[in-house]
Amino acid sequence: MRIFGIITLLGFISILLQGTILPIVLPHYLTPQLVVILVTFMACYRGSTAGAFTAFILGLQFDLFCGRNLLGPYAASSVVVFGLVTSFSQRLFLESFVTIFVTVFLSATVNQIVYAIIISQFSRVEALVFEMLKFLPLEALVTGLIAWPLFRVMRRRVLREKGRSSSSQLGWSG
Amino acid sequence: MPVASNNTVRVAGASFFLFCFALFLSSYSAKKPAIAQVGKKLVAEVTTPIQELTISVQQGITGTWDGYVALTGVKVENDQLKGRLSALEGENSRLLEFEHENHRLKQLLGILENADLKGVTASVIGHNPSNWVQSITIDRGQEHGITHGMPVIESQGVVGQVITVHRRSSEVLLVTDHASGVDAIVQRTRTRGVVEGSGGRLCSLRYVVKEEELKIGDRIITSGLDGVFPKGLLIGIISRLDTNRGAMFQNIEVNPEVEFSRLEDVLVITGGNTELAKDEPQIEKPKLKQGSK
Repeated sequence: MRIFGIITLLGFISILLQGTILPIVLPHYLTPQLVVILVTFMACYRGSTAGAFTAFILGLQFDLFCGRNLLGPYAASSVVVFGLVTSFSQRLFLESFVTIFVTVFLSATVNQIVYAIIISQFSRVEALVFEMLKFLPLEALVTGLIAWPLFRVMRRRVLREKGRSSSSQLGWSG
Repeated sequence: MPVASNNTVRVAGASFFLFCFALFLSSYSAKKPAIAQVGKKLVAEVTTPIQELTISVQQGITGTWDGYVALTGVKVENDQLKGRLSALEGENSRLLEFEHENHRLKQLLGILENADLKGVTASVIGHNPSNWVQSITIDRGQEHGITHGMPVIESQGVVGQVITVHRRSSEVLLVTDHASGVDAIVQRTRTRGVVEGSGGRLCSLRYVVKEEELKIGDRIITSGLDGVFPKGLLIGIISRLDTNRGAMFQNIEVNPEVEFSRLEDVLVITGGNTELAKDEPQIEKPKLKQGSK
């Protein structure tokens, strides 16, 4: 449970970073989706029901910070990403940069598409969706690229993993 | 293997349940936005001091770094004064920051005096972490007389409108947000239209019939007819024009004058005359040295 608490706290810090320093130093389309990285990390290494609940909380935090009047779209998209990555995580070789990059790239893409679909059900955002999807590949690319070092640091610091243990063992340790 | 399968089923079930719950929450909050506002207020109470601290630390680091870069050459030439210079370095960058702040605040106050407006200056303490919403957080709220809907400007032009007010902070929807709309006129031709955000860095001027002869570089100013923004404030410059043969209106892209990612101080107009003294924009471009920032 300690890990889920730490991940939730990291999510809070990530959202604060995304709302304070990152927009000053990076153009908006290059800002990585840090919450997606956390959700994907949890799905890869802690694919459990508690992990799904943490993904929901992370998304809800993001909704509280950023959503105009809607609570829930980001929580829903985070849970979808978590569920999808967990279902594949046992087949992923997580020692590889390419695997993590592709997984996070796809997670970021799926997350934004699901988010776009959900918010378009509740408000008129057709033009915005087009604008956002234009920058989606670049944003997902940046997210995928920075995921590798973050995964390494989190494996060492959050999971307290020593050495190179098997990803499948980690994936289902609860 | 069966353990993994059971776990997969459990996770899939939990994810599906949470997904449905999130959809229900979205639907409920869409119908009753007050629910979302209560949550946002709670979050704002916690995050406002953290955002203020983060921004002041970031500004301190930027100031020190700028001072260092500006004084590197002098240090090389005056080795014997190295120690003294480094001591003065911090002081110098701090004073430069004060000078910039003073300049910006003077410009903002100048707008108030020229236009017979009442306003509150505020510092930007946060940006919306999501790319889907273009908004900023300022360090003034209910305690400082800010209310929902107040216009927010900067020395270079229109910034946006207050959409959420907390006790000590407020959220300002930028003119570039897709939900934003400002009644505007083209300064040269007096053509009316509505400036809407595109969700990115640009805006568009809508509802201008294709017979109107506009040019790239035309200045777009507020009309004052929306009852929110005073008349004559600069919104932006036309950067692209597109007249489709079949369409009734022109597609006009507007480049806002305000550099939203570098906003530091803004002015919230709390009352007064909604029409500026002259029809021309009252705002001059700041004469800050580019290199010193």
